[in-house]
Amino acid sequence: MSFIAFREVGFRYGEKEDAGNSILRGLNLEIARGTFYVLLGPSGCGKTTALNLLAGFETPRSGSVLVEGRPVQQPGMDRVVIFQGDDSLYPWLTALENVEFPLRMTGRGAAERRNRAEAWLARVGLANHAAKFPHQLSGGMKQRIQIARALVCDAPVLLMDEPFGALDAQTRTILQDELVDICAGSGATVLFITHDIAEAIILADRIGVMRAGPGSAVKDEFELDLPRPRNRGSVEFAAVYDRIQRVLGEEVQKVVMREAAA
Amino acid sequence: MSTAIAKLSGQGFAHHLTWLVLRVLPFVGMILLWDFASRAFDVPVLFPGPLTTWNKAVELIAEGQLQADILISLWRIAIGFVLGSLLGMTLGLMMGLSRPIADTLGPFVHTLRFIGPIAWISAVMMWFGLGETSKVILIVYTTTFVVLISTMIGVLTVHPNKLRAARVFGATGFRLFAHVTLPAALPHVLTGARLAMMNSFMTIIAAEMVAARQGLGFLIFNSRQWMEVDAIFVGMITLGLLGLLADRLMALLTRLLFRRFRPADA
Amino acid sequence: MSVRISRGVMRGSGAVLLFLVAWEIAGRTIFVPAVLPAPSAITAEGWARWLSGALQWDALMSASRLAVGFTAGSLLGAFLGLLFGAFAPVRRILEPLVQFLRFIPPIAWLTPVLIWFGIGEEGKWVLITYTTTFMVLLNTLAGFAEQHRDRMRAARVFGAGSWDIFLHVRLPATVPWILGGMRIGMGNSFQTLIVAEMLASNEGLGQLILNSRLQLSTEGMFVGIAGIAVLGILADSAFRAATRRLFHRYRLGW
Repeated sequence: MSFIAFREVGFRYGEKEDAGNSILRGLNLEIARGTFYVLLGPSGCGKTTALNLLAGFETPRSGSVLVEGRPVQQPGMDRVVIFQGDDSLYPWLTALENVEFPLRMTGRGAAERRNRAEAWLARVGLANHAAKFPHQLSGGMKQRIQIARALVCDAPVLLMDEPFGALDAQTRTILQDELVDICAGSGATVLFITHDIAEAIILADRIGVMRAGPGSAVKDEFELDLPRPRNRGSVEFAAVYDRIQRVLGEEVQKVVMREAAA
Repeated sequence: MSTAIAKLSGQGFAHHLTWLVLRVLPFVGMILLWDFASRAFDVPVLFPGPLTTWNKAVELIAEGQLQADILISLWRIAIGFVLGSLLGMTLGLMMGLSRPIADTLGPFVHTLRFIGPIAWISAVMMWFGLGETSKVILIVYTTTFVVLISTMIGVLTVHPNKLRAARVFGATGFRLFAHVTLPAALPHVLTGARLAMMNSFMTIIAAEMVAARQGLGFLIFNSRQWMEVDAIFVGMITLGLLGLLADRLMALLTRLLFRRFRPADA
Repeated sequence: MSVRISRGVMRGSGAVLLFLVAWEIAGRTIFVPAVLPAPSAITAEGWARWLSGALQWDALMSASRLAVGFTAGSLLGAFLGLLFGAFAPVRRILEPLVQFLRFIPPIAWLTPVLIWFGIGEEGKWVLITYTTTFMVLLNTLAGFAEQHRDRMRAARVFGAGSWDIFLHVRLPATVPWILGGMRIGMGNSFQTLIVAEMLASNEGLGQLILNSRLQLSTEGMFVGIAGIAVLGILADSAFRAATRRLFHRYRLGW
């Protein structure tokens, strides 16, 4: 039995089922413990919805989302989330206090909180900015705060919803490499959402490509056995990129055609 | 003091001087214009100039009249403002957090919003007497509405990701409210409070004009009986200065006490 | 979704109904009519005044004063605001004065206005015009303070001169602010008008409230208060509906 499993998961907003409003239909996905799984797909394919279901922010209309065989009921510290953008950070707390937040909620002592938070801030390179407020920091730094905040929880599952989407290409590259390092050490199981193929190949042990919506599911999966650290310029990288691009490209094309028609 | 002067000259004394002159010039200009207009109008009783007004102010201060009026007006505002802010914040939080409460109180809030406090002055005086209580109640009334609406908006516009993140980290129920919703809504509450302060000034002046024996509003309106337009001007300018002071004070306090809760671009 | 809306409406209506019933009972049993009349008594009084035409007269007087002052004030306020916005030296000289005068409540001006213009309609018009002008001016200034740097740069790229930029970039951006200022100005003006009518008028809703009390007709006072609520809600709704339609391109958000 897999650590994380989506079994025939369906999701839609609204009451009645019709062709148009179904976001996910018959989604099947298995993620083994310790895997870095990247979900790739065109816009609107429901990959964020899949993450929200696993996080416990939404409940599936049909099918089930299981962790260690038990259905997901609600959000919890065992499945921490890194959100897209910086809206989940608390602007009235400093970087350090933001990272301490989960520890405060679980009742850790002040000294332990500060030590662990400071350690993780240093790990993501923000040691000198611990006392700053989010609005004083760049987009990349704010994402690092989120990473530190999530990892300070020592959770078995990490959920990341296009965390680097709003950042410039250089910062994205740097953070991707750092994330690989951090996650390798932690042994966590990761579900990472992106629409960027290169990002997926850098990060993933396994990649799932989703169909274009509505009523989307996983189209194809790729097991990546490229040695780490992965070189974006290598021939092997390009070969994998090409294979994935063929599969994803078809789906992206469908979205483009649909948008042009409407 | 010497360090201040040293700093000034360091940063360009000329620059600071120009800045000061530019700020003061409009007022000097206006006072000169006022003087010119009053002379041109040539009916000193009806339109006194700056000098006459100044003399009247000195006279009122010497009698202790102006200070007494100022203190009374401010006192009424202060109490009403504090009580109204607390009430408005409480109701606003309740309405923002609970759909049933918002639905139930909604019709009342959205109707009463259109009835200004002074419309109630006769009723309030009948029920609570002619003393300070009535005035304070009117201030509470107007403050409550402004703060209530701002607070409600603050609660309703908390970004869902903030709440989701908190739920992931184990904060639910009261802890979610205390650690996330409340701090997130606070900037709106503070904006509402600042707005309510200005409304309170307007209300107290109106209330004092209609039904009081003391206060700046009374000073202004009552002076009409004696055609003492200079006293009227004194009252109005004092009012403007007080309002300005109160507003700046609130901004300062917000900056000092609530440094963490200001919007990022404030 | 449709079920949820009616539940909210049901709660609201239920609360209002409960409140009215409680008030009716309290008005008849606990309180003397002079202190707290029942809604039925107030309605009866209102109906009587409507039949006699007195209520319409008072409401119309208030509404007309508001309309005159609001129209004049909006035009003047928008004009001044645009003037300040177009000519930086004007703004730099006059804005500090405006930022000071805003702290003198408009109602305070009633006193000099009464002395200079007397008790007639002109005084009310001047006062309401001032109140509206100020609010619209302040809002217009705030609207002009926004930078829109990229929009202006785009315009310049496409060949716009300074005047074109003012007309086609900065001015349209200010429209929502002007309208917002008008909406707030209307509310402020109405409140100021009521006080002015209490202090210096023989007709109008404000006068109705004060004089009813003096004549020991608390019912009449509540009729006045209700009239104010109705007039205020109508005016605001009409304004919102009209502007939403006329200015739908600006996505006004009300």
